[in-house]
Amino acid sequence: MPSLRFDLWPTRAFAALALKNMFLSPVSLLVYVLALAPFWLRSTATGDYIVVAFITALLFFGLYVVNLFIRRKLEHDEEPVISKNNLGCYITFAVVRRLRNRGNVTLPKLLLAASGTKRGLFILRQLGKEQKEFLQRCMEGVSKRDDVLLFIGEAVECAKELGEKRVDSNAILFAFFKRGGVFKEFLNECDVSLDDVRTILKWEGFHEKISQREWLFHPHRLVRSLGTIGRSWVQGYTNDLDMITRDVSGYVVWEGEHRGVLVHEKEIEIAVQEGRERSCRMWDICCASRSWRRASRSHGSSFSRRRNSCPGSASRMRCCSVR
Amino acid sequence: MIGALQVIWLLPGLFLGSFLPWYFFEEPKHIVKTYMLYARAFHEIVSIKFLLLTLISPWKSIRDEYPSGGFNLGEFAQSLTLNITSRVIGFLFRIVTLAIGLAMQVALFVGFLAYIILWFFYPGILIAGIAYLTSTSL
Repeated sequence: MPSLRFDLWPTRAFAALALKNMFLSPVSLLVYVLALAPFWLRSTATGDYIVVAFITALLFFGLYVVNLFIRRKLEHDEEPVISKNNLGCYITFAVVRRLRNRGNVTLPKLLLAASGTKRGLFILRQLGKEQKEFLQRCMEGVSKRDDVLLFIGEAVECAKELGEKRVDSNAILFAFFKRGGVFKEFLNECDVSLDDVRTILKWEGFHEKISQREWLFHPHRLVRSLGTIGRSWVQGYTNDLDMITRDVSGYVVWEGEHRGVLVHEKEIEIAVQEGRERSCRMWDICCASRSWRRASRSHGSSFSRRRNSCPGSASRMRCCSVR
Repeated sequence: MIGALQVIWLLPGLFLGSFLPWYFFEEPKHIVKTYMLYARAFHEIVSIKFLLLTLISPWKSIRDEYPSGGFNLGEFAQSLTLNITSRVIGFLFRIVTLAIGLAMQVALFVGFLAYIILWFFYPGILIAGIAYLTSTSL
């Protein structure tokens, strides 16, 4: 069985970085401009811009293709690794990008990189600390002479424990926290145990998954925002039905302080009144509904009832419906 | 510097093993899938089939019942006028929406076709462009 090694160079993430520096860096853009300048100068002299426009379009489409390839095949962490024996292939692009002097990776560099990524910063904030405080406290706990291969092996195990396919900041930080020493003292300062950290990391993984948003003109977003126009104009809904569809798509806001459903306020008031009269304590209502309209009405009602009963807990409330 | 050399050593493998299959098989599939998603989304927003099926239906289901139990010309004419007006308004709105929907679908299809043709022919165009540039002097 071939032995395991840790080398960042022959990896997709490193190839992505190198290709970006080669083709898409500000310096390379300057080179393109300088290369195109003689053609543009000649065009201004002759007045024929077709050839130069064609060359420019050709160049920029090529750059677009390279950029797309880097994003889809090299930066994308779900792609298969180049070598299973090289643990460097399992490190995510976000971490590799943050590493300095990638030819000689040490634990202090890994600590710095893992705590500087978006996910790393988020985890530290969940622990109530900033990166600077964390590094000041924990940098002394790692040494340049520590075995990186052994540590990455531990980080791979941590990634498996957290249900991740790649070694990202969360797994690296978890592996550091498991080492004890200054890291344990740091956790004590934050008033959390290792089990708490595990829970925080699992929650962070969930947060990472759900916080990925579709871009503005994604088909699903277009349907969500413009779907009511289609229903109204195409199927010829009545004004009342239009109002419901507009309410449901426009006012069901589940973010921030305005989390809640604002449809059928009259019915909600009646339901709340009935609930009070009958001392009903069934606040977590799951409703099996035949149609989405009915579901949304019950949804709104149960949410409002909970909110009215304990106003302080509005931000923690969730209502679910079973279809 | 050594890292850059390592990547240069890696490039032929990446080009043959990753780039070519991605360029000629994976990405075209992705382009077609994306087109289908947009076409479906536009169809969801402005459904051509429903517009055709309900082209002369009353606008927002606004209609008047015809008088029952004895013929009353005045009431009948009133209902008839309202129903016809509602259908005409419905027709006008739907025909405009239909035109917009069709224009959207046609524009999407033309864009998709142009993009996928450019995608497949780009390597050839690039080689021809480089050949042209090397054959002509500034």
